[in-house]
Amino acid sequence: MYQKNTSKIAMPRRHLTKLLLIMRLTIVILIATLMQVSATGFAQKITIAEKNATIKSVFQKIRKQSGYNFLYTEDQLQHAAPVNISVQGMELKEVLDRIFDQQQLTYAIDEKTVVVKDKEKTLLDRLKDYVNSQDISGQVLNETGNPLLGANVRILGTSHRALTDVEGKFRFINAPDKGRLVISYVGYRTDTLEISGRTSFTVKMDPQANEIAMVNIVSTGYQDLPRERATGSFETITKEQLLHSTDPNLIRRLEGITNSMDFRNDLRPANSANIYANRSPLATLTIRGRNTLNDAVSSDLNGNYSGQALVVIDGIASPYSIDKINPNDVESITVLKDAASASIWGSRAANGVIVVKTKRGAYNRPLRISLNTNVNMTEKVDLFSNKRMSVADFVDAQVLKFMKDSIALPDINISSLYGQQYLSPVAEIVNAWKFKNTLSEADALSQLNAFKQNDIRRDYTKYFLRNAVTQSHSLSFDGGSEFFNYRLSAGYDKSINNTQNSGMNRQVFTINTSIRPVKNLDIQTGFSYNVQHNSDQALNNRISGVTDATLYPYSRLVDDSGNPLEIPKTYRPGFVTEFEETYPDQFLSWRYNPLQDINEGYTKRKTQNINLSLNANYKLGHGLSLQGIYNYNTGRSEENTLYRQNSYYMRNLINYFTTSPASVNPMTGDPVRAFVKQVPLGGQYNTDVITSRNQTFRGQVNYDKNWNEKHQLSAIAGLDLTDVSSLQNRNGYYGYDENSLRSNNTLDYTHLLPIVFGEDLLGYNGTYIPNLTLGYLDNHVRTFSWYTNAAYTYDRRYTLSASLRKDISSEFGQQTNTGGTPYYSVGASWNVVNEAFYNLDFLPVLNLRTTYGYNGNVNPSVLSRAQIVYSIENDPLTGLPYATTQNVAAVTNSKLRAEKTGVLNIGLDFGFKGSRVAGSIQYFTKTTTDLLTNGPLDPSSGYTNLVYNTGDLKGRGIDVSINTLNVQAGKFKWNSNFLFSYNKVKVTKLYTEQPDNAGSGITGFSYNVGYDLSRVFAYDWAGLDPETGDPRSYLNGQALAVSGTSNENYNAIQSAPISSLKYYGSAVPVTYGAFRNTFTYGGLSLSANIQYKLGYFFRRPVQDVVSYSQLFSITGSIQGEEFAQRWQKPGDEQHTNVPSAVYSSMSTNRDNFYYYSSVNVLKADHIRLQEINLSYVLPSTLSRYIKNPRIYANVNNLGIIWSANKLGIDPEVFDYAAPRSYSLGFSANF
Amino acid sequence: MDFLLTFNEMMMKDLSVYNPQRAIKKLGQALVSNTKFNVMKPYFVIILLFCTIFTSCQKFVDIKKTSAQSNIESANDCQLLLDNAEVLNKDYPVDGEISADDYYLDDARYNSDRLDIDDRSLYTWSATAIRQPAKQWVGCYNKIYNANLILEAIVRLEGKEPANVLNNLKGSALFFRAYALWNLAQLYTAPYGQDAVSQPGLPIRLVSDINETPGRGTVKDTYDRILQDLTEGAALLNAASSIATRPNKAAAFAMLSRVYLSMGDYPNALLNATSALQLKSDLIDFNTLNPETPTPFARFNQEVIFHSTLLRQNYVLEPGYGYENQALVNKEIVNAYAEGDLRKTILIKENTDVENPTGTYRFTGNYEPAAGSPVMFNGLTTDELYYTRAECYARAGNTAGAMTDLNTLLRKRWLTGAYTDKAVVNATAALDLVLVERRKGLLMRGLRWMDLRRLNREQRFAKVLSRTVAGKSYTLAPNELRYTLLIPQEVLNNSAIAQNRR
Repeated sequence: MYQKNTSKIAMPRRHLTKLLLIMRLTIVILIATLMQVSATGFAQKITIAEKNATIKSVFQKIRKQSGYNFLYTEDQLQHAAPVNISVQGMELKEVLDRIFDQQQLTYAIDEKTVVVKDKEKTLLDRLKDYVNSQDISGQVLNETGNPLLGANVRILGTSHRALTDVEGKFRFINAPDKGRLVISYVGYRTDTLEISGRTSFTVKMDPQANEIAMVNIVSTGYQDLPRERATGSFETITKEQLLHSTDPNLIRRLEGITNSMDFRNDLRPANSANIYANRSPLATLTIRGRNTLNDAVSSDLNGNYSGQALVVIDGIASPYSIDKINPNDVESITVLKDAASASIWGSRAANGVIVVKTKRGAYNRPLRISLNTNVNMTEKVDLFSNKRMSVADFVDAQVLKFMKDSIALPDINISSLYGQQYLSPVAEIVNAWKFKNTLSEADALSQLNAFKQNDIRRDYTKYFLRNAVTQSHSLSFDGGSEFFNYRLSAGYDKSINNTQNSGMNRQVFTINTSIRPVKNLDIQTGFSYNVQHNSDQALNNRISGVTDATLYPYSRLVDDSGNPLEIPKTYRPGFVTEFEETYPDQFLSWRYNPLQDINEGYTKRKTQNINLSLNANYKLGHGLSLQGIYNYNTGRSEENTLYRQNSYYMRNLINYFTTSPASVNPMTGDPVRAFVKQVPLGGQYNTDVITSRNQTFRGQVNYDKNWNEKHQLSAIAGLDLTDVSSLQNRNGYYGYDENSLRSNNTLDYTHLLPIVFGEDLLGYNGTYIPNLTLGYLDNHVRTFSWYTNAAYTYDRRYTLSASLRKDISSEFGQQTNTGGTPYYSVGASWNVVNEAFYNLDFLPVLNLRTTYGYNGNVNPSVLSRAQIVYSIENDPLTGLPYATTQNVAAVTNSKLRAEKTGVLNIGLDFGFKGSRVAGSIQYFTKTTTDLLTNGPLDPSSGYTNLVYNTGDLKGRGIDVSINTLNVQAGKFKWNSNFLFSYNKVKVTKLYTEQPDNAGSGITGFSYNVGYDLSRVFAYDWAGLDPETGDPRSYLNGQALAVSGTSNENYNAIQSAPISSLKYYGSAVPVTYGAFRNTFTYGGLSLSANIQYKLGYFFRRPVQDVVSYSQLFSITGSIQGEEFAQRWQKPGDEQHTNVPSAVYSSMSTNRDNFYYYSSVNVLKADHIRLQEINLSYVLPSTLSRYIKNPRIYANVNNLGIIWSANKLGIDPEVFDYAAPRSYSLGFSANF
Repeated sequence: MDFLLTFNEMMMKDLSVYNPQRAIKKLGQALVSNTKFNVMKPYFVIILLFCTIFTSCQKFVDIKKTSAQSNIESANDCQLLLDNAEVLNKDYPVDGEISADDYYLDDARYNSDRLDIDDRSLYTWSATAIRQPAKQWVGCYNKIYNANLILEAIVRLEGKEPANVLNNLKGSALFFRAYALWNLAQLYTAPYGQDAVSQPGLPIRLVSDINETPGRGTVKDTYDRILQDLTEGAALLNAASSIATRPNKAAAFAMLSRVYLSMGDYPNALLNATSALQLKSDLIDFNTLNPETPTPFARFNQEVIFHSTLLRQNYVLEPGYGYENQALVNKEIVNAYAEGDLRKTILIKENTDVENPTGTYRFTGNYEPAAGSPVMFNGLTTDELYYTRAECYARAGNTAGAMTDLNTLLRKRWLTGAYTDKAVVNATAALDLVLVERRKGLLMRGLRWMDLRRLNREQRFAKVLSRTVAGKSYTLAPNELRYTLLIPQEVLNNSAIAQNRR
C-alpha cells in the first residue's frame, strides 16, 4: 500500500534533472525581473521608540539621527498606518523595513534620500491577479461578537479598500486570491489575514493594548524569541559588529566584542612545530570559564573537539566546522550562556552554545549586490623576541660538557650503529681535538669561534620565514518577491603562510532561498559548498623549528654566498663519508640540505563540504505551526603527502631497507645477500581520505498564542534525530613516480626484514617496512532527543519559562546509555518598566530575569566498555596475530556518565533615555558534577590516566556589558563599549582519593579539592644554597637544597603536605574583557579595542628557564638568557636565583624543582591593544552605481600596553610573540 | 484505533489525488478543530507516535561507534588478547633484580648518563629510594586488568563456545593474573613469613571495572589469591601449548612451585615442581651451544616452560652486547665456576671492549636473545625446577633425591666427560651445595631477589649485601625493611594506598 502510493509520487531521475534545470532558469528569470537598482544605508544605526506615532513624525526622527532625507507626498502618507516601533542601534535599512512592512508603501534609498513609493506590482503579479481574481466578502466583529461599523479593510499592496457597513460587512469585487487582508479599527489591534483562496471572512478584533513591536530577536537554534520575553542569558552579535576584524575565521572575529568569552589565545605562529598551533580556535575557546577539562589536541574524525562550545549553524548542531564559514555570510550570532538558553541543546550545551544564522534574502526586496574585498599582511615572526643565552655561551657550555665527559666518541663504524648517531658538531670537534688528536688546538678553537658567530635564527628568518598575506573577497546577490526570496554568495580567501611552500585558499558558495508556495507554508532551502586547499611542506621535510636537534643554534642554512648548505642529520658526518667510500654507488646519498629538502615533496589537503537543508514551516492557525527540518551534510577531506625519491626522508628509508654485507637475517642471525633493495626506488605517496556524513531530522510543533491582551504563551516541542558518521581511508604507496603515477606496493610488510646495518641505532638488526596502507577506520554516532520549551508572559510584565530535554545517544557505546539523560531549566523575568507604578522616564529599559537548570557535556571519545582492536601486524615476538584492549578511551567503567552542569543566572538589563547608557549585568553560578576528564587514576586499576568522571566543580561569575554614547555633537559621535567578565571555578570534590602531597599539586596534572580548577602552585623558594648554588625550598621552616646527585630532599619536598607549597591562584584569567572606543565623524570612523585579562598567574616560559640537564645533554639545547646570571661563586646567591651549572647529571629533578619554584611564577595580568580600525564611507557622489562604498583598514596585535610582570613577558605567548598584522579592505553595494 | 483508521483513510484519499495542500490542511484541521474529533484524540496520536518512535529509537542509538573496535565476543577474541605478548609477557618488575647482588656497576657505569637518580638510589639501597613513575606497578595491574576482562568475557561465553576451549582460556587468564601479582609482591610486600597475616599486601583486583578500589589487605591475602588462581588455572589449562608465551599446565605447576618456594613452603614447592617436571623436563646440553656468540640461547628454547621478560629500566642491567652492557657480573659468582663448567663460558663473557675494564664479565646467558630487545628473561624453565626440587628434597632430608636432580642437571652444564657425579655426606651439605649451584645456574634470571628475601630468614644463609660507589660502601643487612621497596610516588599520589614502612 505504502509502496504503491510513494511510487506514484516519486520522480524519475531524468525528471529531477529537468526540474532542477527549470528551477535554475526560474531563478535567473526572477533575478532578471527583480532587477530594480536599490541601495541600503550602510550600518547607519538608529535608535527610536514610538507608540502609535504618525509615520511623518517617525521620518523626522530618523532624519535627525541619520541625516537621510525623506521624499514623499502628503497624499501618500494620508492612509499610512500609525507606527509602533522600538529599536536600539538598529541598521537604518532594517528600521525602514520594519516601518514600511505594515504600510501599503515601499521605499528606495537614493544616495542619502529615502524615496517613499506606493507599492508597485510587477507585470507578472498583475497578470496573475487578473487570472486569479475573485470576490471577497466578510464581516468584522468586536471582542464581544457585535459588528463594528467603519472598520478599515484593505488588501495589502492593492487599491482595494473599504469601510465596513453597519453590520460590519465588507465586499471586494475582482480581488486577488492571494495576499493579505488588513483590518484596522481605532482602539483595536490591527489584524492581518492571509487570503489564500478564501472568499469569506469573519474577523473578530482584539482590543488594542500597549504594543511595542518586537525588539531584538534572540535565537536558540530551535526558535527565535523576542528578547524581552527571553529569561535566559543570550548575547547577540550582529553582522555589523563582525566587521571589526578581517580575520577569515569567523570564531576569531568574536574576540573583543563578545562578553565572557576567553580565547585562551595560543598565539603561536603558524610555523610553530607544535600541533596545537594548527587547531581550530574553537578548541581553546571558553564561555564563562571551563566546565570540562578535556584538552583534546586533535579533533575526532568529524571535526569536533570534546569539551568545546557547541556550534549551531542555521538550527543544526555542528553540521560542519565553523572555520569553514565565510564571515560575510553571517547574519547574526547568538551566544547562549545559561541553562534556560542552552539546555534546549541538552548533553552538549554545558560549554555554551554559539548559534550562527546565515544571511538570507528577504521577501519584497529588490536585488542587491554586495561586494567586500580585503587584504591582510602579517609580519614575519620575530624569533629574536625569545631571549636566549648567547651562542658563544652555548658553544662554551657544550665544550665544557664534552671535555668533562672525557669519553672519546666511538670510532666510525658503518655496520654497528652504536654511537654513530649525529650529535653536536662541538662534540665532534672536541673528540678530534682532545681524544683523537686529529685536529690541532688552533684549528679546533678557530672552528669553535666560527660557530660562536653564527645564529640559526638569522638564516631561518631570512630563508624560511616570510610575511604572511591573506586576501579575502566576497560577492553576494540577494532579494525577493512576495513569494520567493534568495541569496547567492561566493567567497574567496587566499593565504600564503609565513613559511616557505605553505598556503591556503578557500572558496565558499551558498544559495539560500525561501518560498511560500501555498498559504501558511514557508519553505526554506539552503545549499552551501565550501572547498579549502592547504599546502605545506611534507611533514618529514619540514624545517620544524629553530631548536630541533638537527639544527644547532650555530648551524647554518646557507654559506657566505647564500648557497644552501648541507648539514648532518641522523648519522655523524664521518659515518656518512665512510659509508660513501665503502659503497660508492650501491646506495643513495645520505646528505641532507634543509633548504633544498623542503622542495622535495609536499602535503596538500583538500577539504570539501556540501550542506543541504530543507526547513518547512506550516501554520495551522490558532497559533499552532508545524515545522520539519532536514539537514544533510557531506564532507570530504583528502590529504596527500608526497616524498620524492630525492628527499632525505626517502633516501634514508630506501637505504635503511637495502641490505649490505653487514646485514643479517633478523630471525636466524644468518648473513643475507647484499645490496637488495627491499623498498623500491621512487617516492612515497600517502593519501588520507576522510568522508563524513551528518544528517539531522527534526520535527517540531510550535505554539504561539496571545489572548485577552494579557496572556502570551509560546511553546515548542519536538524530536531530533541525528546520525553522524565518518569513514577514513589511509593508503600509501612506495616506488611512486609522480609523472607516470606508477607505484610498487607488493612489499613484504609482515616479516622482520634485514636492514642495512648489522645493528641500528636502537640495537635492532631487522624491522618491518612501515605499512602505509592502514585501511579503513569508521566512526558512527546516533542521537535521539526529544525536547520541549515553553514561555508564558503575563501582561508583558512577568514571564515564566521552562524547558526539558532528553538525549539518548550511542556516544558511550553499545548498551550503555539507553536510559538517556534528562536536562531541564526554569526561568522567570520581570519587565519592571511595564508596571503601572513605574514612572522613571530616564530609565525606559529595566528588566530583571533569573534562570536555573542543567546542561550536559559528553566526551565523544569515551566508552564505558572495554573494546578490543585487532592488530595489523603479527606480534614480533611470537609471530602470532593478537588484539589489544583499547586504552584510555574504552576501559571498563560501569559508572561512566555524562557531565551535568547546573547553572543559576540572574540578570538585569537597563537602558537610559536616548541610549546614553545601556547594558546588562549578570551573575551566575555553575555547578558541574561528574566532571568527565582525563584524570590521574589509581594505578592499581591498570591505568595511570583515564578519561572518567573525576569530580565536581563549582564556578561563579559576573558578566557586565555597558554601551555608552559619550558625546554626540553634530557629525561627531563617541561611543564606548565595555565588556567585563569575572569567573572562578573551584574543585569541590574528587571521586578518587587524593593524597595531600605537594607532588600532586605542582604539575597540574591532577586536581585538588578546594583550589581553583586551573591553578598555580609553586615550591616555596628559599634562595640558592650559598655553598653550592643548588636551588632550595622551605620545608617546615628549614631551607632544603635539591642537588643534582641525591633525590632525598626532592622526595621529601614532594611528599610534604600540599600546604607546604605556595599557592598563587588561578592559572586562567579571573577577570577579563574589552574596552572599545569608537569615534565617528560623518563617514569617518575610528575605533580601538583594548583587551584586558586580570587576576591570574603564569610560570615563566619554559624556554626562558635554564635547565642544565637539557643544556648538558648529549644533544644539548640552548637555554634562556638567564644562564648568564647563574650562580658561579658563593655570594652570587645575593643577587641571583639562577642555580649553579651542574654538568653530568641526568637528573631532571633539580631542574624541575627550579622551574616549579615560586621565583618563576609571575602575575599574568595585562592589558593589550588588540586592534585599531579605521573606516571611511565615501560620499555617494562618487558614482551613481556604487552605493555606500566603504574603505577600511585595521592593525592587529599591537601588543601589550601594560603588564604586571616587569620582565616584558607576554603571558599569552608560548614561544614567539604574535606578529603584527595589517589589513586594508573595500566594501560596497550595487 | 478507529480514529487512526479514519485518519489514515482520509490522508490516503488526499494523497491519491495528490493534493498535498489539502492533505496538510486537513491534518491541521484534524489537530485543531474540535468538531471532527474529540479534543483528546490528537494528543493521543502524538503520544502514540512518541511511543512508537521511542521504542525504535532505543534501537536506533544502540550501535557500535567504530568498526575498528569490538566488544570481546568470542573465544578467539580472548585468545587474541592473551596473545598480546607486548602486554602480557613483557615488562615485569625489574627493581628486584636491580637491588639484588648478581651484578655490580663500576663508578663510570654508575655515573653514566644512562642511569637516572632513581636507579642510583635503588642501586645503593637508599632508605628513600623510590620510583617516581609507577611503570612497574601499573604494568602488572594492566596485565591483571586484561586477565579480568577475559575472565568476565568467558562467563558470558559459557555455553556458546566449547568448554575445553574456554577452560584453557580461563586457566590462562588466571595464570597471568597470579603471575603479575606475585612478581609485584616480590618488590612491594614484605617477604612471606609468620607475620604474613599482619603485613600489608597488595590490592587484589578481581574485576576489570576501574571503580573497584580494594585496599591492601595482608600479605597472606595476596599469596592466598595467587595460590588459588594458580591451582584453579593448573586444573583448567591444557597440558601443552604451541608457544611458550602461552601458559600451560606445566607453567602453572612450575609457578606454584616458585610461589611456594618464595613462601618457604618447601613440601608444596616440591610437589608442584614434580608435577611440572612430569610434564616437561627437557634440559639443554651446554656442549651443543656456541660459546663465541653473545647470544648462545635461542628464544623459546627447550628449557622454557613459560616466556616472560623484565622491564628495560634505563640500561641498568643491559645484558649481552659489547657497548650496550652495563651490569658487571658479581666477581664472587665468576670465581665460583669450576674448570669444566660450561656455565662460565656460556652464561658470562669477559669484557674485552675498550670501555670495559679487563677482568670484568658481562652476562650473556639471556633466554631472550634478540639483539634488538635487550631485556632480561625471567620466565619459567625446567632448570629452575631441578634446582628447586633438589633444594626441597635436601630440606626434606632426601639427600639422594636432591643429588640425583642436581647431578642430572649439572651433567648437562659441564663439558662432556669432565663431570663426575657429586656426592655429599648429608642433607645439610646437599642443601648448601644446591644453593651454591642454584646461584651459579640461575644467574640474572630475576630470581635472586626472591632468593635473598626467603633465605635471609635462615641464619645460615643470611647475607649482608654490600656495594661500593666512589669509594663509599653501602650495605643491606638481612631482613631489613629495605628488602621491601617503597611504593612508587605515582601510586601514592592517586590512591589511598599506604606507603611501606621505613
